[in-house]
Amino acid sequence: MSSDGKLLELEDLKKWFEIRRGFLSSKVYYVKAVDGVTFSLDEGKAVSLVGESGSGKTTLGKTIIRLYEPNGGRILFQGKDVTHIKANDLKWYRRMTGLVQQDPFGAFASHFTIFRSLEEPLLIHNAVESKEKRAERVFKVLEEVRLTPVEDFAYKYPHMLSGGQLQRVAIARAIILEPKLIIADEPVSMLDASVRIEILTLLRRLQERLRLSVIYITHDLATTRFFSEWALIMYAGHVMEKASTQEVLRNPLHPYTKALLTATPDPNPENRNRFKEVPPGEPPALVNPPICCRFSPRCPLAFDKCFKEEPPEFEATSGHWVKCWLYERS
Amino acid sequence: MSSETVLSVHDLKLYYRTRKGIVKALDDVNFDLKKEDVLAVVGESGCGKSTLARALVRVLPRNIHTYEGEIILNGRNVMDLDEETFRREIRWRKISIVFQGAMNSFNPVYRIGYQVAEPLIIHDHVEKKKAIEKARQLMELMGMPSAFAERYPFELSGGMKQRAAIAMALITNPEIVILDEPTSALDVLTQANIINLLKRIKNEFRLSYIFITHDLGLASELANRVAVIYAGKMVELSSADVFYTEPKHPYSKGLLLSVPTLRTDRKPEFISGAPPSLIDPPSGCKFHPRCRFAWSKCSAEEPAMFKVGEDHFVRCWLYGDGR
Repeated sequence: MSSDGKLLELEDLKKWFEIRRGFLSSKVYYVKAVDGVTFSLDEGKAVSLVGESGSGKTTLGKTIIRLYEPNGGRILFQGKDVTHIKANDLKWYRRMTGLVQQDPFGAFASHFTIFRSLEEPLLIHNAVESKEKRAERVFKVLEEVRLTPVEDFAYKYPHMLSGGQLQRVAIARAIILEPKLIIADEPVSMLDASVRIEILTLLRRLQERLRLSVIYITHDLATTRFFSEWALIMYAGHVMEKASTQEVLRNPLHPYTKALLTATPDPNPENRNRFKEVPPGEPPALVNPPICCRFSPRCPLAFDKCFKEEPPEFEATSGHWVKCWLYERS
Repeated sequence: MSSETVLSVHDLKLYYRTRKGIVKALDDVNFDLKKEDVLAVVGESGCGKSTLARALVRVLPRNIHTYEGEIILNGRNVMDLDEETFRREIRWRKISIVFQGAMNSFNPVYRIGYQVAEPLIIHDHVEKKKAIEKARQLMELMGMPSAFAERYPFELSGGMKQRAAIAMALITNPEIVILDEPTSALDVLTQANIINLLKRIKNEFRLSYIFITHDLGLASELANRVAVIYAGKMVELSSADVFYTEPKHPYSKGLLLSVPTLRTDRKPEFISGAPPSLIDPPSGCKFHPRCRFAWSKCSAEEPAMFKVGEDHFVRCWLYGDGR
């Protein structure tokens, strides 16, 4: 563990996917799904990665836990460079990280009982020697995610559980190897509103109790505020804004973040009497994107420079970074 | 807003027959829809929202056990019509629907313009060329470049396909459009743009909407009336102004409290438990096992819809007689 409490550090992380167009063509294109992400996450803290579909948030999540190998930049985990580790090192890293995906119904083998699904990581990593100890561990995590009485749930099959219950099992599976970092990729977007809060509250409680770091990937800004300390706003493979969640929501700087906040509806009967000012258009294609601000074609405040040069990240106020030419200090 | 009632639903029931038993997907649904009204139908998944949409346009699966009640459209009970008359005169002519995920149900091998025009060609026997011209105009009104009519579905983005699906629902000049989660697969900014569009065309065409959604925030963007459905039954029906400020039913209250908000500091809370099975629902009020206020009467007897205010009805013993 590095001394300053940082669990994860990303330096200019890139993940490009190669595509070839045309038969026998030697021309290679890149989909620049994640294009230069820098941030660090302290132990026991949660960060929200907020973005629309195609913004690269899922790719970033998968690259962080090395389901994808980065094309550039570095990932430091507990101060150790894990960017290109292989074999046993990678297996160790997998053990230190957990993943909860969006679709709980597709996350489990239908012919495995819940017990068997939870035992699987223990077997793969040979983490617990005896059968009794493994059972003990499985029951303990089921209790941790509040699927009680545990004996009832352990021997059920996935189809016998509801979406919310399955997502709890998915969380149980992610924490059973006692990892340091959990990636929760849209963990509640397929669940009902009332269940969403239940699952997010559970994740938050586990994060605090087990001193986990959590990367919460979402498209819903409204859920970030109670469930994360930090927020990163992503658009078309770039991080547009990063700061504490409270700061992003109270004092958004990037025109894209402002548009997202405007577009997100709160329940209020007065909404029906007004139109929303949101930029038209759609995110750009990420195949060889132009070198400029990727939001510039939709940005209401864009000026000459925005269409010509990609802005760096400016620190507008202490700890609040924004990738926008409007915040360049002259 | 005029007070002309365009649609009136009485005691609508829809039961399915399944191997495990009879599923009471919709039970005793009553509501009125006035000209230019937007009724939001909200509830958790599996509560019967989409079933209601399907029951209104009579797009039903085969395993129907019971389908009864009255659907009165401009003074005429359309439940009495046979399938052919219903198809010719009601579906798409009077009530059209934008299905959930409609944008992904375009036929990949036909051009968008033709598909948008198809209801005109089939229902009104309009000549193909004229129909496509009309589709083109309508698509332009939906904020699409009219050249997109020549494109195939795969050449359009999600937002554009959704606009085309809305154009398709409007092309026969219906009075009522049912919107079944019309923005559920779209990005937040695109969603806001589509909602703006729906507001604009409602005023322009003097439409009434039935807006089916699980998102109470989104519902408030369009609705002036709100119906909450739980386990196949309507549990609260109210004006949006009253519903969002003082919901009455404990389930409605719970739902509203579970919505995380951006503009207030209220911490969201959840309703513990899960909706019941519709094959073997709990006795009495179907919400009583999850309800904080439940007492003996709630499990013994099912409450009726009690009137608690002007056009405000609640299915809960808390507001019943003798309390």
